[in-house]
Amino acid sequence: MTLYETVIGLEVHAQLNTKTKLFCSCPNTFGQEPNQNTCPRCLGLPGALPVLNEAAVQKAILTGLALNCDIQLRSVFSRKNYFYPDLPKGYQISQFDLPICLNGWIDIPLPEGGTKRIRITRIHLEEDAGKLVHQGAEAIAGSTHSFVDLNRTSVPLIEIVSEPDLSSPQEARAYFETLHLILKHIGVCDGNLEEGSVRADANTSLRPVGAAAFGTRTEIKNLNSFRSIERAIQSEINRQTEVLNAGGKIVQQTRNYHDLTQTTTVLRDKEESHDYRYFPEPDLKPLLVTEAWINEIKKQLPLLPEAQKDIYKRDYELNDSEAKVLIQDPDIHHFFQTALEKAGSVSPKLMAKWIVGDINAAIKIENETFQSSKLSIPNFLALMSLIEAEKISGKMAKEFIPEMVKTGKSPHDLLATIGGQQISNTDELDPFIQQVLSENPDVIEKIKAGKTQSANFLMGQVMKLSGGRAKPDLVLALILKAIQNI
Amino acid sequence: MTSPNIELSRTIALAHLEVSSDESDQYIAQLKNILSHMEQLNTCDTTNIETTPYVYQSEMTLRPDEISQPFGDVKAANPQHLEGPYFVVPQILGEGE
Amino acid sequence: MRDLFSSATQLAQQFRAGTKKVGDVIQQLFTHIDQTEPKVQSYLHLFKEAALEKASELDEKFKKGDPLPPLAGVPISIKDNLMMTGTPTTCGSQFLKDFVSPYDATVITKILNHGLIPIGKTNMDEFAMGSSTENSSYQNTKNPWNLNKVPGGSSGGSAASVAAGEAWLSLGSDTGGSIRQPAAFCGLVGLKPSYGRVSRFGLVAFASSLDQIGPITRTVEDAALLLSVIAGHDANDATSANQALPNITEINRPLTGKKIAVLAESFDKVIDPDIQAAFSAACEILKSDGATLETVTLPALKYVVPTYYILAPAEASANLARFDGVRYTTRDESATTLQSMIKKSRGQGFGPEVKRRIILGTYVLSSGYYDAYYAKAQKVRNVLTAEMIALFEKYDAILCPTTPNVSFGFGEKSSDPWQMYIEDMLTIPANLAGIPALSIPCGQKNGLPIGLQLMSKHFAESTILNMGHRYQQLSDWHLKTPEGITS
Repeated sequence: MTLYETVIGLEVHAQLNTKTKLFCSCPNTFGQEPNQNTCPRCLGLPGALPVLNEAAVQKAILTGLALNCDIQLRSVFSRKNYFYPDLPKGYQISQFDLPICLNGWIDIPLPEGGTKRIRITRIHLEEDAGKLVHQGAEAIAGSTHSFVDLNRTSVPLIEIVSEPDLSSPQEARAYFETLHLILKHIGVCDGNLEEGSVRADANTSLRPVGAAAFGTRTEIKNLNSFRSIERAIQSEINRQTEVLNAGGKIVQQTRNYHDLTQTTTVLRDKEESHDYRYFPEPDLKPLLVTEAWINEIKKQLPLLPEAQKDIYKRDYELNDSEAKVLIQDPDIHHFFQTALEKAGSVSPKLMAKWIVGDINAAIKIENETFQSSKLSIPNFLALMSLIEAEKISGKMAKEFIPEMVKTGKSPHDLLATIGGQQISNTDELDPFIQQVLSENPDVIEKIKAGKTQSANFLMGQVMKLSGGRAKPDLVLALILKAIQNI
Repeated sequence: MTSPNIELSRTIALAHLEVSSDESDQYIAQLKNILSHMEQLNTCDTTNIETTPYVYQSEMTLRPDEISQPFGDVKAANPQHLEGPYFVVPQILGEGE
Repeated sequence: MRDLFSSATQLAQQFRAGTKKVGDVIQQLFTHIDQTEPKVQSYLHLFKEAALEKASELDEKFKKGDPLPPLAGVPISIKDNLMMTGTPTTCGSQFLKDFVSPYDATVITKILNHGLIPIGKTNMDEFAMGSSTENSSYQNTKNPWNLNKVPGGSSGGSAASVAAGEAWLSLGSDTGGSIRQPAAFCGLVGLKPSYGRVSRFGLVAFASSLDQIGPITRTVEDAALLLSVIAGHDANDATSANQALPNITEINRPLTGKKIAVLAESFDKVIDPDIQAAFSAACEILKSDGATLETVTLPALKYVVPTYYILAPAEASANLARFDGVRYTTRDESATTLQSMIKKSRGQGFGPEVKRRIILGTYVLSSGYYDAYYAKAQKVRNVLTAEMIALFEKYDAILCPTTPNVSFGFGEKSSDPWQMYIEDMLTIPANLAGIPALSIPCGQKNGLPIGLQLMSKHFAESTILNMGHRYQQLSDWHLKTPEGITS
């Protein structure tokens, strides 16, 4: 039985988070009344002409730089012609033979450890299409009619095409995840998968192990989650393997993935494949960018996630998962970076631990983001200072945090209401300790007999008496010392 | 080499035009004639000539990324195929893209 | 009656001097239109109420002595492929028979701000495809010089409206000659500006790299003034040029020192001998004003018709794909599936010439044919452009007749599309090269006007406007009016 190896290439479409659409000044936002967010251009009215969004070009270049591409000083827009109701002009303005970026790469983590370099063929700019809402059935099949909503037409997209360097569904998933994070991290895309901000088409083919020529490939369209990419490709590999093992031939076709059944079905065969009749867009001149502009944009390129993560781990002694949370979400990362700037002498390691732990949790409970919650940077830094100076205990901090996130109060406000800072003064603690020891002679006996764990119980009693303000480990030490002297 | 007749028939379908077979025959005949005149272009020497499609080379001005909606509700003038806020179309067979 | 045939410049002066009131002129004009339209059929829609309203506003301002722009108050007709808010805009097609413009083309905004008064939308070949206006799905417009003859196309209604005294000015569009050829057939001045000179925003696109909007007028002076109103960079049109407006202050300077290249092809046997004769006489007049004329040849001229009829339909096939029955066109309601709805709607909505060109355009772009046709035609276009630019190194302008024949009878050229296409052979070069071109009346054959064409390099409209204006100082063809209409 022939053994096959898998060859996968991914085409990823990402919506750029510009303020306006690609070819008109309508807002680039989500969720309005259908067809509200339109104008003569994005409705495809006669006489309307496209005008290219500068920020979209800038973000495409930034992406190209982040993905190690050659930015083309001259690129050209082309018309991709086909009929469909979500495409009001009857053509999509895209880039065909002269895209804005060529020849890049990214390194992806392999499941078994190490990294693999995946080459990127090209990146180009194009406009998104509208949406269809099918009536009378869940999807197109069986529907009686459809509603057309053109709000999304002309939203700017970049299409990132990889070489067929991916060798497994896991690698494809890792590639998509890495790319997804980079796009969010450099600030060109919000990365919202549920809203369809990033979608992938997967090209899969099999060939006998060691063969040079490519097998016939199929395309699975519109995958929009990490899991579905892995599953869809796996299902397609299984299907193709079965066909080949039965002596059949793979037919070049476009397929759809169905999450419920975890299978793919045919959308379109090659014979019916479109002849897009690409030709250069006569309403737009060639896009010329200067080296000077590219260099300016390069300055705005932040350290990429992996590199940033390594630095955090090294410099702030964070472990891998802590560092990951910090860079995974631009919202969290931005908060951390701002706090770092204003930190003064507060330990970054301390800040990082609290941010990725309790603060992140509290913010999520409130259904907020670091940006939107009432926790301010100064208040956060004040809290960190208090912890560092041992003026409040970790337990107290944990109690303060939800309040600070919900109400925006400073830790000093909260101290005033709760009453008092942490007690770490031996003289202040002594009375509490003496009282607890006198009330618990039997526990003292146990401890003297060797059951030192019971000292924790005594410590708890001291904490109660002190209203939670005593410094726990100091109390424990004092208790044990006192007992020794009894 | 496929006959121009078949190619032109396919082209009529690609252009999404439904015409009677008489009409189709007429167009195909006329277009074959027109296309025959295009052969003249082969006598024009275009070696080393670019296909640059632009009438004159100059830079394109880019639009600043600022929201502006000066046209108002452009659908209102032509509500022909609107049902509420949506354009309605009959049943779609198969998918576009 | 003679009043209706004055120049726009003269009329505007009369408004400024107070010797005429705009409201009176509009009334007079509509009375004339009522009498003349049944014969000529220039207009698809008329805006009497709106025109009278604007007229009374302007009369107020004139009375108060408010400063007003040079052509304020002058009635203008608009080709029906220009967006003008609230007006039907059919492009001569049944497919758009219910379409109402929801926004203004940039040129419309400019003429309204200038105080020009739109009288109505004029008839045209459907989607600007044609050279006789016979391809309009609504009506045939007649040539005011001879009602049995065509006015030319595709801006036939525009030209006829001015020639018949139904407007003083008109805005047309020109992709392969659609302003100049009807102007020539109707004894008028027609200017196709340089590509990028006038914003195309709001012009229903036929061939995006060839289309330009331009004036159809009685005098070159009027054309120059109207050009100044509509020209200029527009942020709404990425192909519009960032150029200073053409300088028209010197259009009356004598032509001493000017060198003009006369195309040898003007005396080719396909050119009507009477046209050749009128053309030669016109050359003498230009010489008499001091210009030096030399004969040159343009080798690529023989390729222009096939080149154009590949590139224009190709772009049009994509530009017309938005007309699909989904949003604002008519729709075949009997279709039960989307795909058949689109095909039936387009099949019924478009006329034969439009369908022919869509099919041709789709074909030359399709896989396997792109290189042989579209790419080849782009290259030939560049060969032609290079030849013309080389000529402009030595010459200020290129001169030839506007058309090989004078106007023809209805149905005369309908049997073979190619016969109609080759009528454009002398006008197409200027569209392919993107250079400005001016047609002016220079003679008649059997009462049918003959046109002379001047072309200059990119953005040098002032050169040909100067030459055309000087010609009109030394000749009177532009002062003649069609007998049948003025009686």
